[in-house]
Amino acid sequence: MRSSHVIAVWLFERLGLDGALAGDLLEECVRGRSTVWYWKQVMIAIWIGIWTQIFGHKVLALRAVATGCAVNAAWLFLWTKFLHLGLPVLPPDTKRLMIESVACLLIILLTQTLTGWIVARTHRAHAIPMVVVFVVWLVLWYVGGTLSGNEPRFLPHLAWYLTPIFTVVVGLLIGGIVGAHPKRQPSWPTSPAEV
Amino acid sequence: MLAVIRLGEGAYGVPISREIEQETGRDVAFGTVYSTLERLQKKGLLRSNLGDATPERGGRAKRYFRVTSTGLRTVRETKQSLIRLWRGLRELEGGAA
Repeated sequence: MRSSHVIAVWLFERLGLDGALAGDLLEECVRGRSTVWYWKQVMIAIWIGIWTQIFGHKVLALRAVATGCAVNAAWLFLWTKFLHLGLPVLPPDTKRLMIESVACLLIILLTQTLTGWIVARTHRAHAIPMVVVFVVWLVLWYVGGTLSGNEPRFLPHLAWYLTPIFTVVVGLLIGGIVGAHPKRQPSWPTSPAEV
Repeated sequence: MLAVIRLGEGAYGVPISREIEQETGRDVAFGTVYSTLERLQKKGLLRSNLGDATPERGGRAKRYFRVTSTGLRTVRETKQSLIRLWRGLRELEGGAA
């Protein structure tokens, strides 16, 4: 349980959630609550914390999407200008295509990690929620764009189409977490009268 | 708000959540409770202060909540409004469905 608590506190600090909440959850576990209950509560707290920060800072959220789009547009420009690689439309069936696909996915992972890092660093006060906004926007755009076309939607083609966006999401989240500074100040602050 | 008032000096996350669970019979998520308390605090209806950190809480302090005078006044006004709305509802009088 202590290791779970360390991970939860680590996440809470990066999201700016109140450390007292982490203490409350651990106190309940000491009194007999299960690890499943603990993680369910942590996930709910993180979910609420992220969306509270997003809805509380809508303009910042738009700016995060714009920043992410601008950075990705730059990556796209550099890719098309200097890199003559592309993911095949169908799942790779030759060794050369397989190597090319893996190289593409690695480049996507690296560039999206940098994008997530940049979005996090340019929105330091609410780094992870702003990266999450960009992730949601990108996933909706990608899935909408992919599924609205005449692409094959049956497995394994669908799995192949979802591989790049999965890589993008993982990269962005890694970059966001790395770029987010732990916050000692809780998002549920002490009232001025008590300070 | 009522849970915080009922608990008095010892109102922090754990007892507040338990009070709500006991009185409503519903499970509540701690994240939801803290989120609500934060909103009430921003509106000036509650205030909070950190207590001492204890080992059983992994070195994390308890955040104690107290109702402010504005909060108390708001609760009284809300109660009066509810009483006024309740009056004259014949369908809900006498326990008949």
